[in-house]
Amino acid sequence: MSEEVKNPITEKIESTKGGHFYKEIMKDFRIKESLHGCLNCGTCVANCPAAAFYDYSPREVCQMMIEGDEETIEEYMKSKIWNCAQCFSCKYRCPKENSAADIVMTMREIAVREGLAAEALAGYTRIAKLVLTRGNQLAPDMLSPDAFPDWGPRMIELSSKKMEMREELFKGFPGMNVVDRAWAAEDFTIYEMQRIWEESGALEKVGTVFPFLVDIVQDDMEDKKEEMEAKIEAKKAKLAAAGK
Amino acid sequence: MKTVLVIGGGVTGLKASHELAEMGYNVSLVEKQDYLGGQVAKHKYYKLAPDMRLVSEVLDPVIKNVESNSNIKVHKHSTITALSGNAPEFKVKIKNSKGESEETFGAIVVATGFEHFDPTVKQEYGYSRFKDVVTNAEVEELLNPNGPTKGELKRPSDGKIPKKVAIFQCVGSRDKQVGNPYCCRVGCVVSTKQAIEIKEKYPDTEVYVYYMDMRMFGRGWEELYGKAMEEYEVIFTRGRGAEVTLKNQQLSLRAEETIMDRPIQHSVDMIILAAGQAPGDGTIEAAKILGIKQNEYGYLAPKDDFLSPNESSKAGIFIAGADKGPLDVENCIVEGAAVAAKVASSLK
Amino acid sequence: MSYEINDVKTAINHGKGMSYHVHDIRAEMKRLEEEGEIKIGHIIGPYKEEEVMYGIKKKIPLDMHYQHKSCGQCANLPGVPRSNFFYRDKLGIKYYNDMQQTSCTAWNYHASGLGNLVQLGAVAARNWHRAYEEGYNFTIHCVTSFGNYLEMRHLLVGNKELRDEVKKILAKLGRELVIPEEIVHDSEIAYALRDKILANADPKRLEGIKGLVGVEHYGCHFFKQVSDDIIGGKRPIVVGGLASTLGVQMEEYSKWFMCCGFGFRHILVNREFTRSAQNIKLKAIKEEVNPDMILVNCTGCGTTFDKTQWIQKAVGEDYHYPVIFYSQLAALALGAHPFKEAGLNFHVTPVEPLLDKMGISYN
Ligand SMILES: Cc1cc2nc3c(=O)[nH]c(=O)nc-3n(C[C@H](O)[C@H](O)[C@H](O)COP(=O)(O)OP(=O)(O)OC[C@H]3O[C@@H](n4cnc5c(N)ncnc54)[C@H](O)[C@@H]3O)c2cc1C
Ligand code: SF4
Ligand code: SF4
Ligand code: SF4
Repeated sequence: MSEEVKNPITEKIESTKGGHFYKEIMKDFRIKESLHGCLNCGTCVANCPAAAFYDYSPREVCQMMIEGDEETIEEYMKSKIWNCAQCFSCKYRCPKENSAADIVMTMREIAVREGLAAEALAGYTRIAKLVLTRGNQLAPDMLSPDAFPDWGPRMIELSSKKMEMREELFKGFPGMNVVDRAWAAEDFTIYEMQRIWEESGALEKVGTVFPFLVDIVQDDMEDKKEEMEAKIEAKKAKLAAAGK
Repeated sequence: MKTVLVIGGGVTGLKASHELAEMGYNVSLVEKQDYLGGQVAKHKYYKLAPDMRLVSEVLDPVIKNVESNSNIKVHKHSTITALSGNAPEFKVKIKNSKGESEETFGAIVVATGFEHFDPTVKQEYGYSRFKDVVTNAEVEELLNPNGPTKGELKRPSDGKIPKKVAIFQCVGSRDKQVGNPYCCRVGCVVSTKQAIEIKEKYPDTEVYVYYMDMRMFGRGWEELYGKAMEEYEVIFTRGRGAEVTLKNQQLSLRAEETIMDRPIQHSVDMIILAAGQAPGDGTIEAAKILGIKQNEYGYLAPKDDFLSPNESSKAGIFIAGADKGPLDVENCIVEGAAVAAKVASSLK
Repeated sequence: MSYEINDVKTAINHGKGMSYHVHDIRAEMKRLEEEGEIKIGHIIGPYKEEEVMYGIKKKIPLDMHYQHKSCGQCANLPGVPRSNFFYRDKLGIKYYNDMQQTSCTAWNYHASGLGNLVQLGAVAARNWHRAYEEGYNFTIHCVTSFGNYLEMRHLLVGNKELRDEVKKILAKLGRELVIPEEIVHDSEIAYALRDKILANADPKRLEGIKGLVGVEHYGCHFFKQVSDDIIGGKRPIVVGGLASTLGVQMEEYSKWFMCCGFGFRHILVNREFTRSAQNIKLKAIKEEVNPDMILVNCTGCGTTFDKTQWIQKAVGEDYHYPVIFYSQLAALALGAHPFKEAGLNFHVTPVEPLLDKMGISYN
């Protein structure tokens, strides 16, 4: 996706077609690389696991973006986009090098921003919280037996013994034997992560789905702010010195 | 100077050589292989679309015209290795197994043709790993009574005649994934022809063609397509072949039936890939030695596609046939004649 | 169908004779480096060149490995990072296990749409900068991270707007944009080191591995998300290549390409999809090969294959294929204790029958 890449299709459509969602999606610079016209050949659908099980079609995703058909786009924005497994099989084999996967990803971002994703993200509180307060997406203690009853009896046995097992496995590897996060990321590291989410506008977006999480993160940041900012200042000074 | 070098002994080069010789020029025809006729001879094409005419009826006279003409010197098993000088006095080194010699020519015609796209790179089709996935060029040989199977469509794995055959269109063409976004311009008519040949020989065998568009723009092509559907009950399914798998010795394909909007899976006995055309190594090599421009896909670029279609980027060097881009036999012969006229007028 | 790795190493010549199709990100990075737009974290120490698409050479660093860990693995299949450390210890490779590393957050992103490209880019660049600061080569355990970092490199190199936004944030953290010269997945390293692993292996262990039948499954984000920068060209070969070097008989099954059903969100909130996809894959594996194990290189796939076999009883199927990561196999070959050092006891689908077959005791 070099800035030199010109895509006549997207440019042309941009100027002539309407519809709120359509316009929002087209604003994302990724679309230029994800859509190059479509042969309607069905290669994407034939390889798509979501199309095999749901009323969902990556070909339709590309077609509706070319046509700018707001009704279909809305139908996708409201629910169908969440069927996609983000496996990129469509992109891998499309003879036009389209990527329904990337279009869907863009649409998911917009769906969150526009407040359409509350239902889809209902099960995501814990992960979002972990990312924002621990710098990790998964922790051993999230894998409680009640969360995954279909993983079988061995999973239950595992969750009860995991502390000792991990201790044995990670003897001599400091930081690895924790259960509330994947590894013992330092406070400073977590603070940096939080700053990134804040500065990039991503935290604000989290607020559209999980407003309480934003409060938690901001409180957390506030508590350690002075100490951490001093550390960052030191880093900045070091970088500036190295630059000279 | 009344001498012309023609590089490439396919239909295009043969036709050009003959026309030039008839006009009184001394022609040296340089051909890499030890036979004349290019891809048509190499893969033992048997019948030509759309008239189902025997190849020998077309190719034999063209070759005979060249071999029997005393103005033409045929160098088989030869290539060019170096060029110096300018029009109208080119010095060209010609190499064969015996050695290298230098000759002087007033003009050069490049008719180095194409090569079949190698579908091995489209690994999802399993070509070169699954024995019963074959190319259309291989099928030409199989259907030729003088070919390895004496004209029987014996599938490579066990020699049985397939009961269900699927043909995939646009293999290595109209496909950015392999860098060939262009159309091969013969795949559709060749597949239709092959489907008819198969049905004629084996009426009980089912033939399915998986296509995006059937591009039947040539003389009599659309009529042939109609015939395939009406008289031979070839089944055309709109959807590009997406994947071929082998499961317990059974080939299976996936595609989307794009008119009904449904993904399909289909077990067949043999799959024919309508492999497209790609610029051959011989063409790329000749372009480098002669210093003439290629287009973005590697084919030879005319000075001006509309106004001077047979002139290369270099004065005195002319181009014709399938080395400029995919082309059918009929038009290659037209090209051969056209380039001869252009050479003649330039040497006057 | 058993196959030779060289048979599938076919796509390297894509675009033969055509220059326009070749997208060489390395050349673009070099140009940006010369313009002072980015820094490149050049390879430190020895490396081995391996071919990727278009015959481009990818440099695989052989020493000084920054270990970008996988949160999914550390939480769920901790035997994998442990095996990654183990084979390095055995081969005398220096590595750095950083507690200032964060998750790449791409799993969350693909599943939920929370986050955005600037955030993902900045998180990636922060981790890259950690490796650069410490003087190590950036190497990645997780396939989700690998795909994401390939994508982020691609976007950051190609889009100045995004690059400027990310640089702005990095500056506020006292960091700068240093893109690693190569984005390398750990399974690519293990593949590049396969002969060395074989040479250092315990002969008794190799005896046990010899003749085992394996099938492989690769993470979609390993080879489909950005598909032109993995060893072997378009179709991945690294896991099968390593395993067959160690003596495993690799077999192909018809559904090798299909997604495992992890789906990023489906594994959490829509497991019927995951289970159905798994059933298709497992059925093909069972009917066509019935192997001793399924070899993987991806956190998500490893989890999915390991955890969703038991429940297939509900649809009358009985699957019990141990799910082994490439590095766990390497660690076993190098003499690791199957539980204490390769962490195979964290797997839900029983590994004991496989270990028995290999003649490895585990109690
Ligand atoms: C499967 C298939 C079936 C087809 N069937 C039909 C059909 O039924 N009807 C139809 O109209 N068309 C058909 N075609 C198209 C037909 O094959 C081409 O139009 C025709 O072969 C092109 O002729 P040519 O002389 O331009 O090139 P070629 O046939 O490629 O001849 C080029 C010659 O140049 C030689 N050469 C190359 N480089 C050098 C070098 N550097 N030095 C010396 N010699 C060199 C080659 O050895 C070759 O002999 C078919 C094509 C395919 C792929
Ligand atoms: S990424 Fe989504 S749309 Fe594309 S093939 Fe996978 S599931 Fe289908
Ligand atoms: S594979 Fe590509 S060209 Fe074909 S239908 Fe899908 S998006 Fe369109
Ligand atoms: S001629 Fe037919 S088979 Fe060949 S590329 Fe064109 S549409 Fe496809």
